Amino acid sequence: MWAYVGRRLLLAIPTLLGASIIVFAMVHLAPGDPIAAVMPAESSQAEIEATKRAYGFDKPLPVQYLVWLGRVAQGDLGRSIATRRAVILDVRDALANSLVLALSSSLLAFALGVALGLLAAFRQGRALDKLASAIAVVGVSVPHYWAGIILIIIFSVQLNWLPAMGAANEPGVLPYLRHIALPTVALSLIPLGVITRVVRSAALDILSQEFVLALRAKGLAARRVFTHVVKNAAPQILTVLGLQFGFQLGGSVLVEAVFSWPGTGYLLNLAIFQRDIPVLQGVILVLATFFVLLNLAVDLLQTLVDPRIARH
Amino acid sequence: MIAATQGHRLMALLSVRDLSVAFETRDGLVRAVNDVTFSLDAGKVLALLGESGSGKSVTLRAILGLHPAVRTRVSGEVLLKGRDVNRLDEAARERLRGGVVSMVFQEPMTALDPVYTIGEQIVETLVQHRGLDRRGASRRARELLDLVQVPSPERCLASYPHEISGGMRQRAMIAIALACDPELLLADEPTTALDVTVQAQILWLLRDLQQRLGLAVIFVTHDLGVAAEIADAAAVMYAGRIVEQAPIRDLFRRPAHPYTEGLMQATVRRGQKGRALVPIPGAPPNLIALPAGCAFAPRCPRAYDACLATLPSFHPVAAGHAARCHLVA
Repeated sequence: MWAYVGRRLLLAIPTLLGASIIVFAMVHLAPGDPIAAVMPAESSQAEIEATKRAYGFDKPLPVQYLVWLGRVAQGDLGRSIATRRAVILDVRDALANSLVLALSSSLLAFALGVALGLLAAFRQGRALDKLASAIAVVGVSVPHYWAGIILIIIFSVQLNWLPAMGAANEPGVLPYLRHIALPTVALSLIPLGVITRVVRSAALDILSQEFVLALRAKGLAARRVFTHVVKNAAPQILTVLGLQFGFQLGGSVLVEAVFSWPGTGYLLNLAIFQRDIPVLQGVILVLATFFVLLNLAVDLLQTLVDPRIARH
Repeated sequence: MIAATQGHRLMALLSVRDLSVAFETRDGLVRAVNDVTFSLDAGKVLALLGESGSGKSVTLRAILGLHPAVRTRVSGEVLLKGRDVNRLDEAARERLRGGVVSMVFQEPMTALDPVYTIGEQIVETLVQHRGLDRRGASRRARELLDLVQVPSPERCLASYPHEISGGMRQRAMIAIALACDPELLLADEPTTALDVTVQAQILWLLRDLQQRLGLAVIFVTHDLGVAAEIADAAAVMYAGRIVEQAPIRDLFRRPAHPYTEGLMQATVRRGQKGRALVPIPGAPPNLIALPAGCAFAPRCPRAYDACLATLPSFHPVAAGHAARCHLVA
């Protein structure tokens, strides 16, 4: 088990390095000269050269990369071109907001999706199964930013029950919950659909296996059989939950924009329009790292549930 | 056995009468089991013979009441100790399964839950039926593995199915089936998926357990040699019907149905040397569109007009021996 954990941790390193190279290369791939972006238009050639030296742009690319990587490893992601604030601070605040939203929407989607998927599988072909499938299709098909706008129209504009945008300014749990409610629902639609479908097919796959018949043949009560099926389907379910949670962390650009929720997606959106490359790099690098660590955590969880994965 | 009297049916441990099972599919109604009638006394062994798709396994599942309620039509009676399995609610069926009747499957690798240890799978059965606590159930699980002659029971209990050999897995499967002292054991080709050397061991084990515990057994097989070793009587199935039923020696001495004869000529037997195996020409009929007459008639070398026109009923051959064949009449 620990050897497996160690091996998986080692394997995560090249993945993270790959992500960092891509992020580093963005500066040079993006249209426009980064120096031109920070220098006044009337600067002399000498001034530009001096700035290039100051930023280290005169050195060969591999050297630049290593220097940059060294700084990143120490938590220095540079300064925002727009606000001059340290990128790490902006990213940290945004990440905290996004994490909360990702958590709340994931919890909603996981709970509903797993329940619907299992119900559908155990009632295959009946009305409940069809209802669950319909919900799943609607969930994955409806654009979530559109759903967000519709939610705002219904609950903020028409009914005036919930605030339309932003995070809570006043302290307290209730205002916070009131602000996060609509983006949570909007953001949970896609994972809800995906999870329902995956859980349903995973459970059906297990249900069709002979050992389920054997469990029933030895007179096991239905709820014990249910436990067996869930435990067998758990690795597949955990995989999709982990992936969906990862998507939730990075995939909320549009919903955060619609609700002006100050998270990473909102920050990313802002950075793109302001051509704020250090912020862009910081956000992407942090999100990529998150994805890799999350996958790792899911894989390790799976080995705890399914003994066959680690032992070979 | 066929012309069972009412009195006998009350005495028999298992009495199946006019059992039919059909599955609704997109292509039509698949008539997997048709009007199957037989009975089995306590402590007796019945071999259910026939090729793949002849309805043997479907019959076993119907005895356990395991067919799903949707898209499956089950009719007829399955009287287990006088109670009709088809009329019981699910809770009563759960008490019968494992407690009165249990089943050993063909492939223990797929019939055991891969993510539970052997011990857990035996213990949960005991907890369910016997209401034992975990300690008592664990002790009983050990005894059961001793009973099925597993050499190191402690290690086996703690193992997952993929960690032990095929023979050990089948022994564990048998231990689970016997956990709550059933009176009837359904064995669905329990040796087919095993290595040849292990096959014989499992067969001896089953025969030994049957005799020691006084079990009634329905032994599904397509292997006539295995049937001869273990059974008191045999029922031969073809296209979802029993076509011949007889005490086992009688069946071998004078098979009455041409299909039974064909099976015997297509099987390797003692004293076979020098004689060629004769395959049965043709293929089994489509269970969606069964012919009006005898289902075997299109492949039968001795079929005549009546065979294609009308379904033969059972005709007696000898005491307890009957065949569904116009030629016997």
